[in-house]
Amino acid sequence: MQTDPEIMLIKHQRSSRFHALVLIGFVMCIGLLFVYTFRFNQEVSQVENRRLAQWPVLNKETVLNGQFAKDVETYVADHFPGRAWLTEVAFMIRTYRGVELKDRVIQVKGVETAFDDVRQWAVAETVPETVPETVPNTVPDTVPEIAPENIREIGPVSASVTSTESAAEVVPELIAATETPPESDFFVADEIEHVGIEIKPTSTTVVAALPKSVASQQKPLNVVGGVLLHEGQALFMFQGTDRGAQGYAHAVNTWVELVANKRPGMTSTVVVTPTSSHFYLPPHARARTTSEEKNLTAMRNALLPEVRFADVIKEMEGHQDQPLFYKSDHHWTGLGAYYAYRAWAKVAGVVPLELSDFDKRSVPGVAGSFWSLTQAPELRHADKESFYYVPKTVTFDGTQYTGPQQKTPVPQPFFAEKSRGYIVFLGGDIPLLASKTSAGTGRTALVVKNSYGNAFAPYLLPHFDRVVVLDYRYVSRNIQDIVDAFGVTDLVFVNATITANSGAHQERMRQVARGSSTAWLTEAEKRLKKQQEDAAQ
Amino acid sequence: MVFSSLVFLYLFLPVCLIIYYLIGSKIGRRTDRGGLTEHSHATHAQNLILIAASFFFYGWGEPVWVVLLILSSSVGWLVGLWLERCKTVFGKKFAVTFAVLANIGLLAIFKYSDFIVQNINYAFITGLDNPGFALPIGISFYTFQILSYVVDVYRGEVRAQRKFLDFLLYVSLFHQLVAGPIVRYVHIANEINHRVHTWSDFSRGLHRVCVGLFKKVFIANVAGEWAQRTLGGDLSTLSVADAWLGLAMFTIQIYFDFSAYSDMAIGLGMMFGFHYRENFNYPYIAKSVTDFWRRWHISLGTFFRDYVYIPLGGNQRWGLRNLFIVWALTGFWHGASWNFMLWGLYFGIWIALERLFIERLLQALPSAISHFYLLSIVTLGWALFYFTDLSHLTTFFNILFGLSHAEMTGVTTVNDLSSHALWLVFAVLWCMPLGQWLQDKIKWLRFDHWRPSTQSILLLIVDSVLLVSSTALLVGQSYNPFIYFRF
Repeated sequence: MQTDPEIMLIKHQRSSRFHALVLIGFVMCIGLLFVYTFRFNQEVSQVENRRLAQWPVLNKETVLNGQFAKDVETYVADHFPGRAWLTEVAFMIRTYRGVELKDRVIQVKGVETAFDDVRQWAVAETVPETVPETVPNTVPDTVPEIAPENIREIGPVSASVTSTESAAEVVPELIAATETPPESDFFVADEIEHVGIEIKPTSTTVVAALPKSVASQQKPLNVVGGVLLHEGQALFMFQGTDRGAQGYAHAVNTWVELVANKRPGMTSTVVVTPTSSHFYLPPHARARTTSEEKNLTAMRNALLPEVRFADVIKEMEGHQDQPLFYKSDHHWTGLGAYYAYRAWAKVAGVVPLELSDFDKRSVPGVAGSFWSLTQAPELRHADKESFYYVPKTVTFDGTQYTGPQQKTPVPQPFFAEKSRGYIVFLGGDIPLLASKTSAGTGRTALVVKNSYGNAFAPYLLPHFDRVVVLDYRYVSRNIQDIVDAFGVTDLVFVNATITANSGAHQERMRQVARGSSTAWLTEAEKRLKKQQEDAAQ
Repeated sequence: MVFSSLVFLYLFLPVCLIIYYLIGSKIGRRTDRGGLTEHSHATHAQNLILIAASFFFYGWGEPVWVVLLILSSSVGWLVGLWLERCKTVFGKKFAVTFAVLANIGLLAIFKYSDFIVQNINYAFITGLDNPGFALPIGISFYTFQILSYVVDVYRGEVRAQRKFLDFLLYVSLFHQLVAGPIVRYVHIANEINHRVHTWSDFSRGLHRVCVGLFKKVFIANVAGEWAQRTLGGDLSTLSVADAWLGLAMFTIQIYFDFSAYSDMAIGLGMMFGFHYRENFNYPYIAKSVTDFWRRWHISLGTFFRDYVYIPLGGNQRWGLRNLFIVWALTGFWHGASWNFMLWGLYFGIWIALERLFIERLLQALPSAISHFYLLSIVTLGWALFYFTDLSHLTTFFNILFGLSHAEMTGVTTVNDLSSHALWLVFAVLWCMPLGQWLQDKIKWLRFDHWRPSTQSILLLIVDSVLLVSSTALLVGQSYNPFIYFRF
């Protein structure tokens, strides 16, 4: 006969067993699920619009230096069962830990910490660089002071985040649609990486040629001070400065001196768009940003006199009620790029086509870069469609140039109509792409751009016999060779304030103009390089 | 490997438990069934499995240091045997001195050599190169465990362990290997071969792991990010309010970070049949510095009390001298930098002052004032702890007390506070034994009066919420360091 205490003890033991078995059973099931789904793990997250970590290379060195362990941790986090749901849970926890739920600023990891200090990426692994003696130092030793009226209070330039790999976990690597072939699966992450969201310069080939005296004077620049979520739209908190804007103007000037001025008759125009924040940022949040309009004015004032500067803001004004920018992505839409095209046409001296002269089409939208950065639920389905405009007045083809010399022609349509989101324009960030058209104007445009140029370039098709599109981040072919080979007559620089203000982008543009250094690596190239290094070991 | 990682929680731990309980219990000599039953004893195979698992855990990020761990353990174990065989006092003293020197020597080489060389260079204007040894994770903890064992054998408080593998198990147990608590051999000597596995312990251990995990991921990491953003940034742009908030966040981070690790270590120990002593007892509710140190990192405090302070004479002979030696060592144990020494001595001074007169004063004052006194001292102390660069420390204190040109508030101050408001309340409340207090005050809340089945269901719900939300926060989270790993 059992006594009451004994019965209670047995009941207690049974309850403990129940609790322990259910809980540890749950943990084991998740572990088993992870192992079971290992072989089905995808390379790309459609939801997060980024490339997921791949199973790391196992060798003696990676095990001994701990890299293998770190990479496995990243891999497990990226491929964890129910990751999409868990990230939403995490976001809800982060959201509801405070009381301010409206117009909240997301402190995106690394944003406040590091627009990479110029000195930091200036000491990257360098390819020996020979700067032609005729080339002036495009970053003047005495950078003009920032106009006081253009500076508003900027949040504290804060901590250097302790681990670079941790930032890499958070920073999205926005990926092209999976329909695009691997060779053209270019990422726009480089844009974001170098404006303050990424801590680690992923490109080991970015080489800065800043004189030490200048570099040492440079303060870390925070181009972006966070992301504001406002009425279902994400907005950059722009914190560019006059100095940043002038840096871009100097990079353009380098091109003009080294490319345009050597060829009589060649014109140069600059198209730089503000971010969506310029139009949609609520007044109370503007105190924490700098003015993009003034930034563009500083940029325009620092350009050489022969360079024509398109007033994009003026052309876009009055159309804010239209979708000029994506809500979940940092890019402009096809429509936004159209108004920029009209601004360009004014300074280029051509008559712009009306929207009705284009065939309006659409592909499904994606949750863009802002969604990846903030995980904000309201952004997940904010952009349901991506519209693009195909010129009706001309016929055109498309060819990209691949291979080690970027001289091997491969067909590449100007619109990737089977893709999704922003990738529809040019099919992503292709280093060198050209199109022959039936325009019959006898002129050839060279668009020098980052991803913002993708939506813009198609509008040039009706005005040029040939439109050559060069992504300065990834092009490695000599610029003089490109200009001569295609018979370029007009240079068109396309950018956005956030990337134009970035020292890394400016320096890369200068390098391309000088024909020095090598391109930033695309994700596909990074993988290939890693594989080759591993094989060599 | 860290406890708050998905690899540990969902791969390492389940595999380890399966091998330990399902396979290990069926192999080798045993005194009873070794599986997880109501009362079962561990087998030798289970001990070997635990050693192997601990090596894998320790070697996951830095496999090379496993060798050092084995070497260090071998010395400790051999000296233990030597001490028992020694018949003369001189021989015993020689043996124990050898062990102390060997272990302190290891610490000196791996932890303090750079610091020593830098100071020699500074003092004698020499140009010696820094040795640049990497700090093996957990070396400060396991060398102290080995030292405590040797000294206890020397004192005759415990018998030397005859089997090397059993001793290795004590040193290498992955629960406490890398960040404590500093487990004394005497406390778990019996459990190495005669521990009992029960569902009750397993369940309580699992609950403790869930609680610790949540404390780490939800409180410590959030506070850590905030602290790093303010204290670790450009001090010239820091406002007074942000400086105070940053320091408060570091105060929260370091407590929740370390106590969370201890919670998980204790919980994991229970899941495998070990019972470690508590390492924290709500230190921020203390009313004096002396009380605070009875509640904070208890295993370190008792180590220095038992192996340094009392042997030096305690408060009977050269009390003040002994006190400052202990606090200088406590500070120095935390890191090879003068700021840690300052931090230790800072507490030494306050404890000395309390002994002399403050304690009597505090007893006469209302509790609120005592709390305020303690929290002020401890919080400011964490500034000494955080800034290894003394010039940064000076700058920071100038900002803190309005002696610089810093603004009173920064542009992010209000936003930071509002976006963390509920979290902040939660974190502050969790610094107090609120659950126990409520159970004491309200009878029907007393957990142990509920039916066992209700208890287990409620516990299951709570633990599931903690586990799932911690997992969600870990997926894709970037800021996840354990502060005490560097000690």
